[in-house]
Amino acid sequence: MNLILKNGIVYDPINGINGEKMDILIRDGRIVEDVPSDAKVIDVGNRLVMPGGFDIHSHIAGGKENAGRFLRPEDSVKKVFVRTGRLRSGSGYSVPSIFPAGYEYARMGYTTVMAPAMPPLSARHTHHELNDLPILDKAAFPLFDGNWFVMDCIASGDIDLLRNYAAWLLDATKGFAIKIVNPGGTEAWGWRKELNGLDDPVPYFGVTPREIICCLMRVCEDLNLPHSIHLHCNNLGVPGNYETTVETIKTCKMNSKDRQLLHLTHVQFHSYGGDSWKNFESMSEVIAKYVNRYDVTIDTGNVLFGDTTTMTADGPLEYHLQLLTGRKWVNKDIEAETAPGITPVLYTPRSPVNAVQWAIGLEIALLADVEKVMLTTDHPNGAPFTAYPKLIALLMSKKYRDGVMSRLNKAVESRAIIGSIDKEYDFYEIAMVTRSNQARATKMLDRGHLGTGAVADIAVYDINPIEISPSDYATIENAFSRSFLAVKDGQIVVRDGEVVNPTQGKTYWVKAEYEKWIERELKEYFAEYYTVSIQNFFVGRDELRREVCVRAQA
Amino acid sequence: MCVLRLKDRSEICIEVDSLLPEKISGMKAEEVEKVKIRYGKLLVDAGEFFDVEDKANDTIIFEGNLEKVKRIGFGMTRGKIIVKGNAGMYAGAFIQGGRILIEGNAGSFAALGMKGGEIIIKGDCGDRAGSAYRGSEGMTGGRLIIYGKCGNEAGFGMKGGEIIIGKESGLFLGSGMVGGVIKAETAKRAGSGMRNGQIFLDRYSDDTLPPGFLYSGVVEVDGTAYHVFTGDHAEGKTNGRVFIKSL
Repeated sequence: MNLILKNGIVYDPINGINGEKMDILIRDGRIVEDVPSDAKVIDVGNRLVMPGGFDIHSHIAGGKENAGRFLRPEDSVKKVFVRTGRLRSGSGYSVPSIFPAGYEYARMGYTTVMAPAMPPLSARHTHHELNDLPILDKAAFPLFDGNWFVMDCIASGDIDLLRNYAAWLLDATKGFAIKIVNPGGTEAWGWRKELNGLDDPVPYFGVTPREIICCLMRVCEDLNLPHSIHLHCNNLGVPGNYETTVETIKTCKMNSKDRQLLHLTHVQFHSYGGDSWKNFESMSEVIAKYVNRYDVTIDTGNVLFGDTTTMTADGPLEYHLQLLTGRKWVNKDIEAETAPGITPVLYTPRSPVNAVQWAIGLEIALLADVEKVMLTTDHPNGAPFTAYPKLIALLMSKKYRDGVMSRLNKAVESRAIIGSIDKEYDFYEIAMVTRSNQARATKMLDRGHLGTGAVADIAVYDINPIEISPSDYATIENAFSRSFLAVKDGQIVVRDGEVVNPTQGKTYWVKAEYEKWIERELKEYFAEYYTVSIQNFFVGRDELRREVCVRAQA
Repeated sequence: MCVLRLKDRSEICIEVDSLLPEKISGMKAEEVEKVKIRYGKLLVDAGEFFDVEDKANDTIIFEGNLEKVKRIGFGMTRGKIIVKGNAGMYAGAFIQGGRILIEGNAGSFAALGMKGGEIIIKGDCGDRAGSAYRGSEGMTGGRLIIYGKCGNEAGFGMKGGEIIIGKESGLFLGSGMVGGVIKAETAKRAGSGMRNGQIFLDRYSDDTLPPGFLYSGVVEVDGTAYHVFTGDHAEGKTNGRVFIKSL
């Protein structure tokens, strides 16, 4: 289909376009310079036009998401989606089923999403679920953190073996990047031990978190993967954990090529000062300083108030959290790989801890270099992804932040610095933190911008960005929650905030070269440690409904 | 007041959560007939199943055998509903205010997740009366009165409010309770896993208490002497108590 979007006010940071009125021409799913004269013309009349949204970290599909749905039937009744026309039914507020998750993302103008924590053994489940995710393009990051084979390789100092294994595992799970969650911590917890810092050895294996991070970073650079290692640091959610985070950032000592060396995820949960919940405070300023200085990118992991479900491959964290809240909890042990946990939480404005957490997430987004920040709520850990419009409005409006702050626990005034930050994001910066930074960080250079040759993933919001004032935050929030028009691969998928065309997106995975002998070695390893054989472990290309193989050239 | 008379008993369940006082108050009879209700998987007019008399105000009367009519007074916040006959499942579920009077029996899940208001059931009641919606926290307020018997797991996970059962209750009355008061004639395995709240029973029958309860003497409550058991100690620290009039 050929399409012209006329008279939009365009924000496209990669091409340096900051609020210019222009036309966008689309042919065969790509943005082009000219189209045949019979192209359909849509006049979007001074509305805000951006590339399609890109969420780099959102737990929408996989084994633990399903366990979360089982654990929380009461979450399911909160939001019920009735089947209408070509849209399928579903339910769930913080752990929605897969069809409504796709529709809700598309309604907000998002067109790409990354499932960031796929236990290798759950890869088949994850991909089959992602196959059902409508509209959006997607990819999944396999977990490498508590993997026995990885730790064995590191303990014996065999980086060559680790590199081959990493490349094989990406192929076997059809994964996109190396994800590390609480390196070594989950395995240590299995031995009833806690790791306090980067240099505490994991019991039995004798490797330290620092070694795991550095070796996998080395492997990631050697394989030249499109995305850097995607790291969830040690000591998540522990008061005083900012020191661990700073130490982790300092591990970036290599020379990088054309992207960051390290992506730190949900940094809000890793920027806590103090030494107990009583004197818990924000350390966002220190973290932002180190983020700006080193070759890292971050996503924020904002907390917004309300009821949600926390789920992470960081088993010990969820265990400690349920001891605090006294609510129900599930741990999913994944054999020789990892152990995700799930427990519901309620973030309340009255709680001093939750109020400061709310502030830290915003402070990081406001203080760190805007080229390095990506916006997430770590769906569903900080809030469901449907809270993004609210988050955007909070970043754009100091008045909104002050209004919310006046209703929070007073701890937010003394233990956080949000009140003293006057910065307000503009639409150009919003386009960076929700679109272009993600495309750069994952080297998916065909998206996140509107230049010639880019995929025609476009979001149009019902707002005039030139006339709107930041104090009108309600209008901004409303506009971002219902896109006026969303285009995916050149097809109109959303009109006036309603999904009109549930298309099928693609699954991206990375193929890095490995040598054949690795399979022979792994065969024995699988026979000894796994409940499945290596043949049944391997996810075939034909199992992905629309797959795109990205080749990593070492 | 508006009278909704069921025409004939449907084999497939009907769901009437759109026929609440706050939703239809002020409508004429013809308008009430046009309100959509759920019939199996279809949405149909209320008039297909009910004869409607008079314009609606804050009181609604249902007549006929409504065993297959689910969700009467579902989530209601004010007004009054009278059911002249039996009611189906989920009668008064998630009610926040107002009153419901059921003159016959009620199905399972009556007063599920109740937050406030009052429900009176003259007959018997099915399972899980006044209990928690699966996965969530239990009843937090209001009063549920059942004149007859009730089924298993009444008051499951209860946090507040009051349940009064005229005759005996089934298995696991008030299990997992953390607050509120339940009264019944007798029950089986009452208060299993309770950590707070009170259960009053008239007499001890076979297997009334699970093994985690300890006898702690006789106390007088409102002029009546009760034998008190504390528990469920299987849960660790607990403040739950079961009062039994005669052992």
